[in-house]
Amino acid sequence: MTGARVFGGVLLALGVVAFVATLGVGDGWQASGPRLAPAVSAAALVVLALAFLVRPGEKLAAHVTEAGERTHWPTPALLVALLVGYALALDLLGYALATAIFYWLATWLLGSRSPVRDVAIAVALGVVTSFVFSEWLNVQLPTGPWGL
Amino acid sequence: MLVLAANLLDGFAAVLTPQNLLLAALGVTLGTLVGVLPGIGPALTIALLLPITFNFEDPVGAFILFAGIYAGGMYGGSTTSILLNTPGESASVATAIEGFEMARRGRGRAALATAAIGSFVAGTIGIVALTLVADPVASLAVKFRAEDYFALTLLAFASVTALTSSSLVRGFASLCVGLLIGFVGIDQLTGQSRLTFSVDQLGNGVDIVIVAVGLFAVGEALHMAAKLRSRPDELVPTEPGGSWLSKQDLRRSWKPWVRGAGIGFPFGALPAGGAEVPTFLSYATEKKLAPDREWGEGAIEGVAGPEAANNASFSGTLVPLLTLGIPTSATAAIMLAAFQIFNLQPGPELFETNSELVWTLIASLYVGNIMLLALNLPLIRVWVKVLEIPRALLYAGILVFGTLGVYSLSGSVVEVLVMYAIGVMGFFMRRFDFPIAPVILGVILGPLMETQARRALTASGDDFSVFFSRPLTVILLILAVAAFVIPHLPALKKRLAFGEDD
Amino acid sequence: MGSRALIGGVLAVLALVAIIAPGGASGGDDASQPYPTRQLEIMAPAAPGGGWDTTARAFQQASRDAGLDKGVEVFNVEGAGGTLGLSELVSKSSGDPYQLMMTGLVMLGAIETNGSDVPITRTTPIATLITEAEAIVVPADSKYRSMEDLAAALKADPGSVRVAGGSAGGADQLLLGEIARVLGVDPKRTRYVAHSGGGEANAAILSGSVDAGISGLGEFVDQVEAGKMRLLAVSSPVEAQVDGKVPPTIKDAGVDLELTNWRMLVAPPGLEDAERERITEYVTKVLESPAWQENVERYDWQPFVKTGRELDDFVASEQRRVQQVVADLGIGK
Repeated sequence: MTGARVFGGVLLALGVVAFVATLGVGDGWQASGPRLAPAVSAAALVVLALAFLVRPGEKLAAHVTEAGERTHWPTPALLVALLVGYALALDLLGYALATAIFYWLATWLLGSRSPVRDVAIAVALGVVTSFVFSEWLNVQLPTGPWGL
Repeated sequence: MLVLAANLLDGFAAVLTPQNLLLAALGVTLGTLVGVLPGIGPALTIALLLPITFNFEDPVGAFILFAGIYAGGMYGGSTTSILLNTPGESASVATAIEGFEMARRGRGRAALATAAIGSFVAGTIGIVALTLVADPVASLAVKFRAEDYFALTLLAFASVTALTSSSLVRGFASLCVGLLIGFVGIDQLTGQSRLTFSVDQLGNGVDIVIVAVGLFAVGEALHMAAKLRSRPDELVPTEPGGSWLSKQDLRRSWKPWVRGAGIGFPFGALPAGGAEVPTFLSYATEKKLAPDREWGEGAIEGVAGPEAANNASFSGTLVPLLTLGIPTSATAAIMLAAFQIFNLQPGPELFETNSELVWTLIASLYVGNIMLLALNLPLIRVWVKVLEIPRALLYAGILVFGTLGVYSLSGSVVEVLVMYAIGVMGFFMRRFDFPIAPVILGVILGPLMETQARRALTASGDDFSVFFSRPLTVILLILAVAAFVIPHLPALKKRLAFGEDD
Repeated sequence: MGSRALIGGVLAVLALVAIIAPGGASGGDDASQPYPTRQLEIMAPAAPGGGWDTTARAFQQASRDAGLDKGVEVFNVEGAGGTLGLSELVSKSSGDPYQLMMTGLVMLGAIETNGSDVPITRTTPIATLITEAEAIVVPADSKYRSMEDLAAALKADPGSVRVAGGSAGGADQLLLGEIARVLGVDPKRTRYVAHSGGGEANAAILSGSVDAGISGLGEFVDQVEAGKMRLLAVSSPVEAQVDGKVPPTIKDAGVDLELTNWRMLVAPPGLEDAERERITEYVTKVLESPAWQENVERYDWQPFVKTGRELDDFVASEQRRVQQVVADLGIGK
């Protein structure tokens, strides 16, 4: 149950940070003001997170405990890293290239073992969506240094 | 009545020409193709295509094209919700919950079919309702004040708390997380930033689509990645058989369609009703009425109801638009602009001064609905092919698709990162059995309730009697309290009975 | 339905798309050719269907009809009263003469209320296009018969008049604040109920939950002509008739003040004067075209064109004025 405790701690921290942040909003606690509702929600989250920390295993569904035993952590962790890299690469490399690289790496990470086929799909995906969105739909996607 | 029928027939006579039918078909196809693209909802689709209508001399053709594009755009949004777990707009968030589970279990065809037919049925009911009750509904709708909207959202909130899980603590913690996400952004009433932590892009708030795509698509992809090593790559074959909906599916779907339409239309007709609340209300209603179904594992009622509610709510928004000239959604605002191009001024006198055009418009919407059904049922066979893509490619594709949707919606990387962060959160929530639905509810209902309550209190000068001074508010509040209490009555009774035994 | 028919349908759609989609020719800018020599992009820093979006798309259509461009694209950057779009234009497009943005009075208000760190003066103003007069209305059965009545009530107790309008810090609230200031009462004491759009504010006025409403004149015309609302005054002179007569201005009612909700096109910072002149020349030509005139009529706008030095002075004075009102109202931070 350590994992659950850590998550409860994260929720607690979220509640505390949100509560402190709302204290600076508005100039009072009137019901018509902008502070009351978010502050109350944050305080409630703090209380609920504490209640969860006391008994993290209460009425836990069976599939949860089962899943806990079979988790392979590196895969989701790498996927998150890949996603963040993707988001940052969008502006840097342009939509088409960033998408092609991300798609190729993600399919490999998620267990596909046909890198050649995947790279073809990845490039097609990036170029076609980029073209459709910017040429036909007037939706601006980041173009990167080479205008794609 | 007879006059109404005659008017509607005249409308159909104006619409049903080969050229117009072709336009309707074009509109539906264009709308569906654009609607399935991530981040492009019906409003933007119509805005992009508005300039074509400048070329029409005759408003009938333009209306027909519009009606087709709109119907197609709405349906396109549901398609991605069901097949890829990435809702493109707030109104199809509820559809994704059961729809994607159905698709994952090889029932994508039935899910898409019940969505398409449900949209048609609800559209039909909505248009009939619009024809018959537009005037009385409109005069009732403008009686709603901020305090009534507050009471109404409270009622909606009470009715959907059934969506919380077995553990009250975890359910309410999820709800609070949702509320806090909902409060992020610049406060509508005072212009102050709340919970934005000095990030400019958060000023606009966190769109419900960003939350839904994060929780559903990204959370699910991470969940899948975590179990990858323990389960072999399996593909669920699409159900065999020629028909889209089995007899049993149809039997399970038709009541949710009708109920969904019944919930969606009045909400749409309210100037601040929207489509999100009725879709979730419909979802909760179906879950309450048939608790034994495979909820969370692809219950068809959970697709049929919300899809119908979504469509009927659009017919509802035409009530304030046509009778009062009040656009209540982005799409309605664009339609209003389009009407003005043809010197059609929606408003209280529209039905008298321009009755012919109004009936033509209503007939157009009807034809658009039929055309949608005619074109999209055969297309389902094509769409479900998506599910035959190997799992790794599909999930990587879903991530690309979701990212593209959020990026084109917001135009910034910050929102994309926020979506990923919400996805990570969703992953852990799944792991520790925190329910997801309350987060979505918090994001949708929290700000609505808060804004309306504060508007009422601003107008009254922080005097709470505003919530008890008019019968309408009081009735809604009593209903809300009843909706909170009634589900717990049996348990309460039981406890009391045991108490007597002791 | 056969697959051939399906393919035919798809092809037809693609053909339609090809007609709608503007050509995407790109290349360097040749100063000897009239601007634009390649595709131009206009940002509408708001949702589709709003005022800036409608104006930008109307400009796009007029420019195309007049054959003055090599393709114009309109795209939306939604959020925070347009200040997100503003900071994107300033940070990403600096020096690019082919990126324009639609803006207006509402953005000045948003910059002040949101505490945005990019002032409008960072951009290169090209031309104002149109304005919409603001209108002050009351429900048909209101005790306020005229603007004088309402002004007297505001003067006696600004908190006694509940006013509905658009977003906090927008043109509607600015007008209320200005009226209060001119009447000599504290703008902070006005009771303004913000709504997310004209539609919602309209519904609030009709429901009787507020005493008066302020919004663009166009939002109210139908309701006034249907006898559901009474138009008390407009914030600047208009030519059009509403319900058979030209509406009086607030100045006529003794509130010495004029305010209009103007919209303008701006270019990014970092342009040379010659570039600014070439863009101005192009925009002016579009504004003189019959297609644009038609659009102005279609949407009930008032033409309002200022360019060059005159425009700079106008923007600076409007900015000072907005800063003052927002501070007076005590909104945002």
